[in-house]
Amino acid sequence: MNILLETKDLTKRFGGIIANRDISLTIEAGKTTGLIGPNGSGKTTFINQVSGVLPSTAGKTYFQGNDITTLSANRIARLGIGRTFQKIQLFERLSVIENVLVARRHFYKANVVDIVLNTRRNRREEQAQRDYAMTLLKRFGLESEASNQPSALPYGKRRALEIARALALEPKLILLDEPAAGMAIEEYSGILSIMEQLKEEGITMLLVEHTMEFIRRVVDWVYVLNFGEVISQGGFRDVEKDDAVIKAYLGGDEAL
Amino acid sequence: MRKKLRLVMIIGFFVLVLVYPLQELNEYRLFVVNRGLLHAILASGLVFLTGFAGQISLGQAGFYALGAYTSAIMARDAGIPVPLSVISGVAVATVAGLIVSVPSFKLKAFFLSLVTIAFGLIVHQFASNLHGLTGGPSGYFGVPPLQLGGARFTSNMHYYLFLVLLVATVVTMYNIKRSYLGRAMFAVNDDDVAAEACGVSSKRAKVFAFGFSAALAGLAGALLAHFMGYLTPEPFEFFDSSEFVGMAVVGGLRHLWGGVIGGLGLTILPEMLRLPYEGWENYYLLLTATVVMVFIVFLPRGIGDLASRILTWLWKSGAASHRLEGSASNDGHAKAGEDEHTA
Repeated sequence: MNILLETKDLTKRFGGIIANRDISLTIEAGKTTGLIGPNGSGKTTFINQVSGVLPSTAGKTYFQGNDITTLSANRIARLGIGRTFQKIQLFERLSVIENVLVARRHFYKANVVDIVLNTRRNRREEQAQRDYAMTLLKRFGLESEASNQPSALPYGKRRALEIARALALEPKLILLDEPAAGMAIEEYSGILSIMEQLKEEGITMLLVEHTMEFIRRVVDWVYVLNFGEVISQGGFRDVEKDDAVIKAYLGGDEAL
Repeated sequence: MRKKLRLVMIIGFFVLVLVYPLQELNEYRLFVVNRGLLHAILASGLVFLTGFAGQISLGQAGFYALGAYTSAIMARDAGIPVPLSVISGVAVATVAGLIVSVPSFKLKAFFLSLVTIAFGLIVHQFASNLHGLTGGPSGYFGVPPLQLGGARFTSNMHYYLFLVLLVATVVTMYNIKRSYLGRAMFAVNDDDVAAEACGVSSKRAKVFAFGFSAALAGLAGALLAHFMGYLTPEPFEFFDSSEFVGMAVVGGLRHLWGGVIGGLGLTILPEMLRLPYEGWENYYLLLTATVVMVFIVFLPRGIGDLASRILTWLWKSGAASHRLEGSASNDGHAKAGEDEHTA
């Protein structure tokens, strides 16, 4: 088993509230791992911890065997962990293609002098990166929107653009925070097929999602969180039948 | 027709800008315009800092003063040639900008503006009280002038030099804006968490923006020192810092030309409002402030935005009529093809 990401006793405390307690999980390379649990169970906090947006109170995160716990978010992104956000966070003042190009920043080699004088090297590199971004947009059916503002896109395409932007990092791992939230089946089927493609290409994914139908179709392994602790893990079918999971979702003993 | 009009407008504008100092007989008016060009360079830096990168500085006069005093002292007391002293002034202001950017890692909006105000006040205090170095409130005199071939710069030469530097500033900003650096800054401005998730260091973007805007303020200051020939702490007060922000806002924070329009406009406007009525001399600044307020209320995106919208309108309606002609001829072509087919 080739482990891409591993957390050991990862903990997050907000003042007196423990959001995540001793979360130890592994994400296998090339597989799609699901992270489910009731609202407020710590899923988004976990993604924020792994991606470096929130500092962890205790515990460690290892990516490809290296400790990345205390690295800055931009450093973690450059190492190859892309992510999307639960509430879509696009750069509204930039065009669609420029949104993608932001994530290409560290692939540029032109220096400040090249930029200020707009040298041939700078122009050639800019064109190459634009071509790359355009190929990505085509894949998501966004090529005709390239020079539009993201605010002009319908909801489903905004989601798709956020994933395209994360892919522009050429990441090894993508953390998807509810990519199908607020969408009907016909809307998220596009995202579903994109995820299936990514999986074929060997990109590892961590998926936080509430839509069970979506989870069932893409994940290889599921972790279930409740009140910031892992209460169950396994294949989707096994987890679905786990008493602890049913209890967490439906609440109370009487539900059993 | 419109295309020709546009061409005439563009050429006319350039001719006007180039010829202006040659026909200006009023030396004081040219002096004001030259100060305006320096303010335009400085205000462009604020457009870069605030409009592009989303950071605030209410202490820009501090960088302005650092550039001015450094260049003056290096040229007069250390005796290095004026062009080099200007570069040293820019360098000192840039370093100060890099240092002032550090609080911006944690502070935003209101709190950041307080830090920058404090910075501006500190520099002003040094300028006023380090008598041995700056001459204090009584002034620092005998700053060597800019020279060309042994002769002092005339007002016209200052005008052309400042103009070239201002154009270079705008071109530089344009090139940065459309590069990955510009996009990184816009991204950090929009959403720093998402920018970080895209591998963009928000700290580096802020450091760069502060450094660049401070460099421009330092450049304007250094040129001011040699242009004036003397320095007092008076043009480097908090009031001036806030006026510079006013210039950037009135000109248009998100507009490439915002600093140019605001810097020149708000320097020249008060002078134009000095109307020759008795007792009026006390009120022209009041009127200036009122005009500024009206602009900010009714044109929050600045004059630059309005101007570019008018120009795009001229451009578009020209292009639209052109396109109409094009599609008409296409239709004709298609018709002809159809006829051929039926025949």
